[in-house]
Amino acid sequence: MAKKSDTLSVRLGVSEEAYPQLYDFLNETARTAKMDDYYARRMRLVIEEAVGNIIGYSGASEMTLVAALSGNRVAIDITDDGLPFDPTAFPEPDMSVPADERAEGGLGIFYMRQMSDRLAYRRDGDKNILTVMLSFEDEE
Amino acid sequence: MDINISEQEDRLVVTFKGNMDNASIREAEQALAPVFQCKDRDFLIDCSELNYISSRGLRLLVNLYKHFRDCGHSAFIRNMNKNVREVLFNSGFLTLYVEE
Repeated sequence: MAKKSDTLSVRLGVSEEAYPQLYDFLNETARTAKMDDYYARRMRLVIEEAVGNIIGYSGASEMTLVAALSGNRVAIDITDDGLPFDPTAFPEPDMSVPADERAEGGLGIFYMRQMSDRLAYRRDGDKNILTVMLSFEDEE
Repeated sequence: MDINISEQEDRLVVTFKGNMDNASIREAEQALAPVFQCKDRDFLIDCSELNYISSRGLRLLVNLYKHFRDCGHSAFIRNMNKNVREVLFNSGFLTLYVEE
């Protein structure tokens, strides 16, 4: 099948206007992978939360996403030229606090961790590179 | 995303259709402004046509819950798909709503 070794990429501006292009990229990735909708939405959540942090807080001027498909796994590299930020080192929200009393913040990173197989971060020169690894099942 | 607000019996019912994502959240907040004026009844979210929700969408649902709680009313939710339910359940926020 064609999906077994495909690579897709997109370069995005760092603003709220980038979201439609991001969604198109993720839809194309899911289509190419023949990904079941449930897993496609989980992928979308993880990546949207990561991109939302870059748009909201990084000060970056651009970001690039590269999705590498291999069988029923996808590794997505998200590269930005913003301030150093390692989401894998970010503290977990305190889930022992009742939901309606919990402080806002950290929820996006909670989902990034929970719905991915693994997150890996590295700083390369002036760039943040976050690799998100996900596994999925095929559409029926 | 499309949002429909209606009154059914003694409850205010909000129906979401599409994706409650980061691109649509501001529009959703504006569309829901009248809901935050309602203080005299319970509240129901119908998710039968809601495909997807991000953490920003979830925060909006939490703020809706808090409004009705503070007014002494209950918040109900129904017809979540597997993804939407997972997002609410895994973070503990599903406990705020009565699932029916």
